[in-house]
Amino acid sequence: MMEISFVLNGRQRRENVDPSDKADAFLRRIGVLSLRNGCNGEGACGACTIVLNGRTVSSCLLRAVQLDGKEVCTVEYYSKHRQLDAIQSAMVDAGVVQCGYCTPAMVLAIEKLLDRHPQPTKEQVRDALSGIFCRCTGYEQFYKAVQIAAQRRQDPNFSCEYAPAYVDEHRFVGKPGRKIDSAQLARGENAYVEDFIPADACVMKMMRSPHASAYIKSIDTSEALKVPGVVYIMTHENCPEIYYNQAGQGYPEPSPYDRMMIGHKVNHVGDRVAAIVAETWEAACEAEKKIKVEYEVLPHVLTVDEAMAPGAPVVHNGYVEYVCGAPDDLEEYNKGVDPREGKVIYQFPLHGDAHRNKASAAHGSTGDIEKGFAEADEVIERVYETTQIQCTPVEPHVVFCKMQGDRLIIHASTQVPYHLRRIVASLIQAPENKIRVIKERVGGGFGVKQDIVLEEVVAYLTWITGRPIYQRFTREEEFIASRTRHLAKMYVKIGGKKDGTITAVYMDVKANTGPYGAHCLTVPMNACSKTLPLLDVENMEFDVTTYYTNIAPAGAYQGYGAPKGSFALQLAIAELADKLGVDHMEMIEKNRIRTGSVMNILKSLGEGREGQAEVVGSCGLGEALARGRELMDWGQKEESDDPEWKIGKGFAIVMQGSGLPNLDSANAEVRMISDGTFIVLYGGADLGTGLDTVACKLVAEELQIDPNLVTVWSGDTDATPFDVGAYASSGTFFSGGAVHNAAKNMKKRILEVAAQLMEVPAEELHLEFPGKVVGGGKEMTYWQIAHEAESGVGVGQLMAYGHFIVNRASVPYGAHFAKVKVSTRTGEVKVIKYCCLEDCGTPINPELTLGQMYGGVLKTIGHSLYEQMIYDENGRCLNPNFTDYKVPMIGDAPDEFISEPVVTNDDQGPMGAKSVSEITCNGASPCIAEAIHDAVGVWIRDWPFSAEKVLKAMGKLPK
Amino acid sequence: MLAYFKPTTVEEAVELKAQHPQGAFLGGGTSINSLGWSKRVDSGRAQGYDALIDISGADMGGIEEKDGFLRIGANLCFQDVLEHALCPNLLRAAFKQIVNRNVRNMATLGGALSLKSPCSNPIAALLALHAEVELSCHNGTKRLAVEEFLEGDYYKALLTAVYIPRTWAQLNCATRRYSRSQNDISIVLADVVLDTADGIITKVSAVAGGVGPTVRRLRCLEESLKGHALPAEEEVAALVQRDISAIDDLRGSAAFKTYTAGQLVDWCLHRAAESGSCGCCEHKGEPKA
Repeated sequence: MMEISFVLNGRQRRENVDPSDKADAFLRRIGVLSLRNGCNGEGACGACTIVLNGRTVSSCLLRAVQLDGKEVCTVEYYSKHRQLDAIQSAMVDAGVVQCGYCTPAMVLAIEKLLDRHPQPTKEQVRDALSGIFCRCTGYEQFYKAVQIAAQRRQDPNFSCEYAPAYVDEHRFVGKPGRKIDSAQLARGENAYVEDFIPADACVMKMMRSPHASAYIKSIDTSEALKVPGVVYIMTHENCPEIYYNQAGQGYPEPSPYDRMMIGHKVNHVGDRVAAIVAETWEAACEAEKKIKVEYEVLPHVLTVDEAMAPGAPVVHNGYVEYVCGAPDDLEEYNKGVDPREGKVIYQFPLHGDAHRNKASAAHGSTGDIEKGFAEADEVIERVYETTQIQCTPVEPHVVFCKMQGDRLIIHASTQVPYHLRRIVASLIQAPENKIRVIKERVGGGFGVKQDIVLEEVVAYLTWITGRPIYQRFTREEEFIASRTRHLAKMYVKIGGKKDGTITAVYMDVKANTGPYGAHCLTVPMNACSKTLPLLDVENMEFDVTTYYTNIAPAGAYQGYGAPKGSFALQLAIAELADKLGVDHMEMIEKNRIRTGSVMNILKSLGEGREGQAEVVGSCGLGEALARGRELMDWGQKEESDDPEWKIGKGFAIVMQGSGLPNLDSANAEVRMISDGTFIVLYGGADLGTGLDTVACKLVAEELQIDPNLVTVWSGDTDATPFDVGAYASSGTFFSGGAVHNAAKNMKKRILEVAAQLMEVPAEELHLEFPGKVVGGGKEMTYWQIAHEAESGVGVGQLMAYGHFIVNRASVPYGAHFAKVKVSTRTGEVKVIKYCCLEDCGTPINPELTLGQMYGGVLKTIGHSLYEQMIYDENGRCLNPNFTDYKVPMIGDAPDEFISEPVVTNDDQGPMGAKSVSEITCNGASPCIAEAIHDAVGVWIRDWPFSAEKVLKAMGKLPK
Repeated sequence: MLAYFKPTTVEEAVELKAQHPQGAFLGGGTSINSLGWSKRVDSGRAQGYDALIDISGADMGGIEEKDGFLRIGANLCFQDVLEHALCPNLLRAAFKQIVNRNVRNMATLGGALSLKSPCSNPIAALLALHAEVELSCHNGTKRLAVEEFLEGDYYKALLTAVYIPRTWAQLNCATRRYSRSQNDISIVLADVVLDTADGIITKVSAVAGGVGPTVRRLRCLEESLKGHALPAEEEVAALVQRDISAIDDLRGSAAFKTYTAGQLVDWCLHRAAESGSCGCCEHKGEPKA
């Protein structure tokens, strides 16, 4: 050990460090919890940024000893006395504080930027933020945040239009207004699971398989258990034999229960072998080295083609069971299976065939597909492929569990608190009232935190040991042991006439779900269900088959199958138009749905049950297309000033859902408290998306009260009522819908009680801002009502409940346009302009709506151009880190990046709102692919559109 | 147990290295402190270390012109060097190819050179500029060409300065890289410095990175170019191929990298030839106004 002396946030510090200590871990140890960690010391994410002698550096690339004699500054320096400084307040107002995980780093970078350049150019902003990874925002609004900050450094009262305002008749809804947790996050305050870990917490380290497929022949933990500090080790030998599935979906889930917490067979590199609970990380590492495992390595399959091949190795060759709907030949099917293979339990038939690596299948049709093809002047057949994409939230998966009396408390970074509670209850074999799940602030979800990938093991181990236990995934574990997009090979056959009419569409999706079937039916089906209904075409058919393989597990990721289906279908339409010599835009306008169109194909697209045809309700697709054409100068071919580069344009229409009709549900409660202010309790999960702010604004609007007088508490299974959670774009629509219904019921209750107190009929009373009841020549404030209600002669505290379900969809629609430049020399593709137009109904938080749009587009530019998990022949992922798996950062965003909501008024959504963020992920790859074709005449039909592929397609490299 | 030392002079640093032969000189630490480095050590692809000799406080001089050379102290960080008025254009452009400002604020030229990454932007620029390195060890100091330094084994010595000859620094230059995203390493990289008279190349150095075990001079190409006008693209590509040996990896196939190297070198040759005295290093391709 040695002593270092340095200035930290203006104060001299003397601390003892070991030369091997890293600066970021050291600073967190001495209480600087605003420092985050997204890459375990690669220096790639910048979440650990500090200012060192006036310069931003990544503290994970420093040893603590390098701080000696220096001045260190972190966001705490700017966060005195709960105030926001100019930069922090500017970031909050501009809407760039979403999940907040990168926010402290961004604050520091902008502070230093403005020190150097009080009026920075866009290029200087880009350079200042170049080392910081933000997966949420798409970076575009940071330019405005910096402009505001620059002004505020001169004039603290500076204000401007932070984002457009919508919906004149509302006071708060549709207007920019600070996200309710953004100040806390801008100050770098404790907010995430990792900030609340007590000193006595144990850690959990998972020993993982080096093989893609193997039986565990033997495992000996005896020496490991002797390591001082080791508390417990779970292997398949002492793991409860309870099968479950990790997908956060409504019960009974359309995903097979195909794993135990630790199985006898490992099914991917990184699969669980032994869960080690220890008092220190060092003890856990020591124990892991002493665990003796003997594997019987088995052949494996990595691709759909390999999984489908006759005689292929089988991932799940064990007992198949059905809770209901078992086929008659099940006994025969299960004869002679090896019990080491484990089980696959279907809640109901998913038309899988596990012994042939089929996890699930679906089929549907409308009209007469053969007749449709026969009528066509041209029929084309194409195959489109997508690859394995990781969600890369900057905060990895993390959980802390403890016992409180006889109850298990789970602090989670999760999208699905209630599904988590249910799944844990099934594993610990206890009723759900013994479990409390508290969703803390989430540093990025994007779908990957819809699944239970670490929480259930830690929860179980806490339950049986009684010890508090903490686990945080490394970045490598995020890649190989959490969840990714499903991969798909999609065959599209599409026919059309010379007049541009599409006569028939057939899609055959073959998806790769990895070894566990979380979302194995629903994600691949979405490739059809969130794409085909865009077309008003009578004859459509689809087949979806999902295969088990031994790659890292796939699951849910923003878009949920629609990005890949959209890629295939939208590009096929563009190719058909090209083949027919018909204008692509005219073909889309001719064949797209409009308000009032009937989506017959939805009859075949229920999630594991019968669907229903639906009429298109609010639909801003036409406006989105028109606005996009205008912004992109559609139809105008552009020439580059450099003959090497060719410019091209493309577009795509997109849709998604707003939650799942007849499947999702949400509940909320609104309470008036003693002084006439409100507390809102709802079970939804704000992942940084601003859902809590949506809830706050809906209540404030309905009850005519300042949003500052409404407190929102969410995602706590003890305190907040049931909600399926944040997935399928259900947040604003369902969770917000429940809150809005509760607010409406509160309004009724207020008027009812006020009528009694004011002795005026309720129908003559109305609510008025700020927070009073007016009518009959009288008025009464909410304070007065609360005071009376809570008194010894009162009616009792005013509380109101709301519930939200729907039986038909409210669909968001959009149009995306991209302009690219393609190098004819190197094949490089750069997106130079992107326009994202989306009809989300009413944009409740406009600046956050835009942030969702920019963020979704940029991450999918990533999967279009360079994101890809790559494996060797043994199933080992070669790039489970940010050095080798590239994610888009500020330098990769389009120079001209435009997002605009198209406002419609949905008849079901709260104050007309629909969803906005998943739909944003569906447009990039088809419109960039079309733009590449427009530029250099080649169709690239598989992700990513690398320079090498473009060169090969152009004939400059042999294929 | 990792030892740590912070010498105040070069002599002290060199002495410490002699005492701790498995010790590593620590400049900024952006490479040897990183997770990537420790994984390379675990897999045997990089050298572990049992001591850190922090040379950030040792006086290696700043940036100055001296005897026809620009001398740059090796423990200055990239950002300090690129902001200096005397920094040659090509070296500045090379630093800017390292998009991550946090890294540029700590990484040093001495560190970059010592690590000998085959994709190193500063090494490529220095090689093209005919730079020399100054090494200090027990026996004193010596200067040698960067090219010689890259090929030899000088791990016992401390790299204390870089010398860039004015005669090369003032010539036309260009650099271009291929990477997947902006923050990616330079998968393929080209640097060219040249001088022409009446369209004939009188001096040239051409360098490629990412296409061999080290960044290298393209000798066959240089020899063919001297005394001639710029040849056709195909000829440049064929000459470039003779001096490189790309490998297949997850960033691209050998064929792709070889092809791209030819394209980038050819582009740099033309850009340097046309651009006048300063050397424009950015590729364009914007829509015509």
